[in-house]
Amino acid sequence: MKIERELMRGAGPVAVLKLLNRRDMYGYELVEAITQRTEGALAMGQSTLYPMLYNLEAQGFIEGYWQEATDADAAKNADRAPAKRDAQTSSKSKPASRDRKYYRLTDKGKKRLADDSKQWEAVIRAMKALGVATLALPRPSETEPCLRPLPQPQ
Amino acid sequence: MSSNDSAITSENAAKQASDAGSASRTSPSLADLPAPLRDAIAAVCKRARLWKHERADVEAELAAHFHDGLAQGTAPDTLLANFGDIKAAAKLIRRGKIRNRPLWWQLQRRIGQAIAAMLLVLVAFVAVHTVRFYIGTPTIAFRPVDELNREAHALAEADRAWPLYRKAVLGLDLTRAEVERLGTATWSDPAVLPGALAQAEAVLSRNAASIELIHRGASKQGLGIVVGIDNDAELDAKSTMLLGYPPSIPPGTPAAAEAFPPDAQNPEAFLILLPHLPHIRIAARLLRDDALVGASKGDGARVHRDLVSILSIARQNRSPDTLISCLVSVAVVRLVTDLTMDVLEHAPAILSDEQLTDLAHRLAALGGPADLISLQGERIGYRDAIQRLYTDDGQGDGRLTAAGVEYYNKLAMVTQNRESQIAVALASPLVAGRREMTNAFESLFARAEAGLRRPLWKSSEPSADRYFLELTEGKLTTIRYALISILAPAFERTRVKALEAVAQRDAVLVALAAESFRRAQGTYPETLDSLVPRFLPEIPADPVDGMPLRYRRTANSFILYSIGADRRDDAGRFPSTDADASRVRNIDHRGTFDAPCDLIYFPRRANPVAGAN
Repeated sequence: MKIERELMRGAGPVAVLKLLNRRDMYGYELVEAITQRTEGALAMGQSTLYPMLYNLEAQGFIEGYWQEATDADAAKNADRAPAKRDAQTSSKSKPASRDRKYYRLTDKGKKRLADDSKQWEAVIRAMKALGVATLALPRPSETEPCLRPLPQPQ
Repeated sequence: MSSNDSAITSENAAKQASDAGSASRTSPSLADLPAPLRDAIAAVCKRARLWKHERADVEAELAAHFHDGLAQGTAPDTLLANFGDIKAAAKLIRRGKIRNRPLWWQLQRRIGQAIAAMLLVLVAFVAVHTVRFYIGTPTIAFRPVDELNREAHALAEADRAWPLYRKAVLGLDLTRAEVERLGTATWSDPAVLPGALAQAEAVLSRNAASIELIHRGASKQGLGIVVGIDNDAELDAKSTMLLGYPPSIPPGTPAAAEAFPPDAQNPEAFLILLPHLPHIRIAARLLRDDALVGASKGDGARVHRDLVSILSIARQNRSPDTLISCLVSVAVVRLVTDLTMDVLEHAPAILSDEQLTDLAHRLAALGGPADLISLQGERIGYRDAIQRLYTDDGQGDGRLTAAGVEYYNKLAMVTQNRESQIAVALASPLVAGRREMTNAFESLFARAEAGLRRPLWKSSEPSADRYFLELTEGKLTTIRYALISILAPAFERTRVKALEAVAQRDAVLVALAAESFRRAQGTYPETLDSLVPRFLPEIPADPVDGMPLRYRRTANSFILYSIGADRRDDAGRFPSTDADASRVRNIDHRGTFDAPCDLIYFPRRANPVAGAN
């Protein structure tokens, strides 16, 4: 089920922040992860995702950096902290060819995510109380196994 | 360090570095992509109108995205379809990237937007104003000529003096030099008086018929002249002969008058001719000279009749009610007061008790400055100008029109205020609207009228002239109240003229009362208090300081005086020089100076016998 634009406007950034809270991710990875994790409900095209990333970046919730794409990236990304931190460049400096732009959550972004999560929980509780939403809230631990890195390109 | 910080602190360096590196990164990435995807990226980046390094960043990121998609086995068409709308993407990406730009750029952008918005508002305002300005038309309903002629039309033909005065003027047998000498013969200089009297007698005897007609006219209820824009050719010809110019020409230069033909259906107030005014003065001066000759011959009845007729002319001349007419009437009244003082000084016995009393009553009936000066004609003039300049919304407001500005500029030209002309399109938004302009005029008139009711010594209150300066002094207000700057008369000068005339009249009333007292008591009073209330209702005020008019008894006569412009009581001392006389006479003088003399009302000349000094 596709979410209406207004709801998406509020949910999309939180979804992105939540995904980046687990580990650093690049654009395509985020699109795929959101589509998979939400069963397409919050699926968004690049025309929506990238402007959203730029806005989050402008607000200081995330920051982008270029990093060379290697086969080892995926495994290291799974550990949250990127392995090639020294080789990283800021989003404004020169990346190498075949680089990907990764995004990571900033401290400000983490705080925002915590605030937004509380608000969403309150909204869902309110909706449940009204009978609009009937599903139980998942426990935080239930979300972790699903955040697997995408296979790397050959 | 956050990306924002780095963007702010090393904006230029980063930009240059990114610009330099963009080609090495993006070109291979883009080149490897299928053409549709490459074109989509190019289209997005082109539409997003980004800085070079931003564009390179976005290109690289989108290219990486598509590479990832292709690597996952997604078909290019599917990737393109998933990408979404290119136009929307470009717009959102631009917005997102702009938010990432440094603070100085954001500020610059906001300032630019604010300026652009203000310019837009200004352009819109000017555009709306210009359209309204050109499509607006004045509503001309008020007819100034009807207002000015209202009293004349109400008079029966038999009650009108002007036909008799006109006939008298047309019948005058006077040279231009004789006209100039009329009313100038004075008793104050015994050396020239006989010669002046002889000349006056010659003139009077040649014009006896006209003088009689003037007397008959003076007995009429009103002047009854119907004014307009049509020239009285016969009168103009006579005026040219008597005065050297025809008074019927429109105001301003002949060229200006030619360029501004009057509205034949509803003539403009300021183009309405008042050709009678110079002849009113001639008629009054003729009678004044007749009274002087009569006084020199001891003919009190003749003197009394002449003075009464002159006062009547002054009263009649108040209609049509224009300021210039009022000022002429004030000048005519001065002829009576001066001559009465001369008679009381040199030949008091020629007037009977009844004549003295009658003159006193007639002079007292003139009233105060507010009775002598009326601003009704000025009001008619500005109402007319307002209706020709502005639209009328029926609620007292309206906006300036193109036709109105054209009218205004002609008005400025004709009234010799060429420098006050305003540029139509540029200045018109700055000109006050109908209501504001009307209110400013009304405030100005209210101050002027209050000034006429305020004695001269109470000068601390704001005058009409000061308000006029407030309205017209600044560069912007000069344009805003341009109409006022060319239409408002010199209120303060008018007020002072009226106050001086009233002060002079008051002094004559005291002198007449003193003469009546002498006839009753055998001697002049020691103080003015003795005159009240039998001979004088109250002692008039000194126009300079508001104290009772100064009076000093001398051996055979008395001195009646004001302390004069220097505000110092010199015990009724006569000026010894013309300069001193002129200085103390200027009772409106605001500066500080000292003159060893006073402003003497009676006697009119230093009289050693009277022991004045």
